Amino acid sequence: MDCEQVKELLDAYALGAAEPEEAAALEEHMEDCARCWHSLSEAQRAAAAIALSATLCRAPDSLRRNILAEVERMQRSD
Amino acid sequence: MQRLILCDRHAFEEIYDRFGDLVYSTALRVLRDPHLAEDISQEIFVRLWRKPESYVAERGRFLTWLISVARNRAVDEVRARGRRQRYETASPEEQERELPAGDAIDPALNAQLAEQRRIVRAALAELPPEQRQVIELAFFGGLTQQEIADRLAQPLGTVKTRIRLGMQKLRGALAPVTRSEPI
Repeated sequence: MDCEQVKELLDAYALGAAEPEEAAALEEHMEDCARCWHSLSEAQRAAAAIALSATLCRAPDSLRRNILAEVERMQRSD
Repeated sequence: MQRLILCDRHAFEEIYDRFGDLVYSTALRVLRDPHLAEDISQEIFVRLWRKPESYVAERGRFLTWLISVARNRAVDEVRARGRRQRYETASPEEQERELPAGDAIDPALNAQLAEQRRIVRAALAELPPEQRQVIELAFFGGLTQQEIADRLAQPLGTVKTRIRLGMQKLRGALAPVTRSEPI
C-alpha cells in the first residue's frame, strides 16, 4: 500500500471501518512512514472525538466499587 | 500515567473519577446494554491497572487512546455476540439520564468536556444526513465499509466517498477539540 492509497483509507481505518486485510496493509505501511503516521493520528483524534456525541451517563457506583475491589485483590496477590 | 506505572492506587482512582463516566457512556452507546457496558468498562480499567504500559504516550493523547480502547472493545463484544447494533440517536430514556452539567468530580474537566461535546454534536449535526449516517454506523455500529454498503443497499464506492467527505468536514470542524487537551 502506498501513501496515496493510505490517504484514501485513513478515515475509514480511524473509524474502525476498514476491512481486516486493508487495515493490516495500512498498519504495515505505517511502520515506516512518519508523514502518514501524523495524518493517521489526526484522523484518530477526530474519530475518538465522535464518542463525545454520545449521551454522557453516570456510571453505576458498582462499577467503581468492583474495579477497586479487583485492584485490591491483585495488589494482595502480588 | 507515570504514577500509574508505579502502581499508584491514588493515581488510578483519579483517572477513573475523571474518565469513568466517559468510558462507560462510550461502551453503552455501542452496546446499548447497561450491564454489558459495565462489564466492558470494568475490564478496560482493570487492564489499565495491570498493564498501564499498553498506553504509549508518543502515539497520542491518553483520553483519545482510552476512548478508542472503549469503543473498540465494545465493538468486539458486539461482533462476538453476532449482534448488529442500530445507530439511531440516543433513546429518550438515555437522554433523561444525561449527566447534568456541573455534576462531576472534576468541575474544570467537566466544563471543558461539556464544551467539546457541544462542538462535536454541532459538527455532526452540520453534516449532510447521509454522511453522518455512515460515520455513525462505522463508529458506534462497528460496521465495516462493506457492511455499511450492504446495510444501506448502496454501492461501496458511495459509502467510501461519504465517509471521506464527512470525516474531512469533521476534521475541520473539530479542530478546536482535537488540537486541545484532553482529546
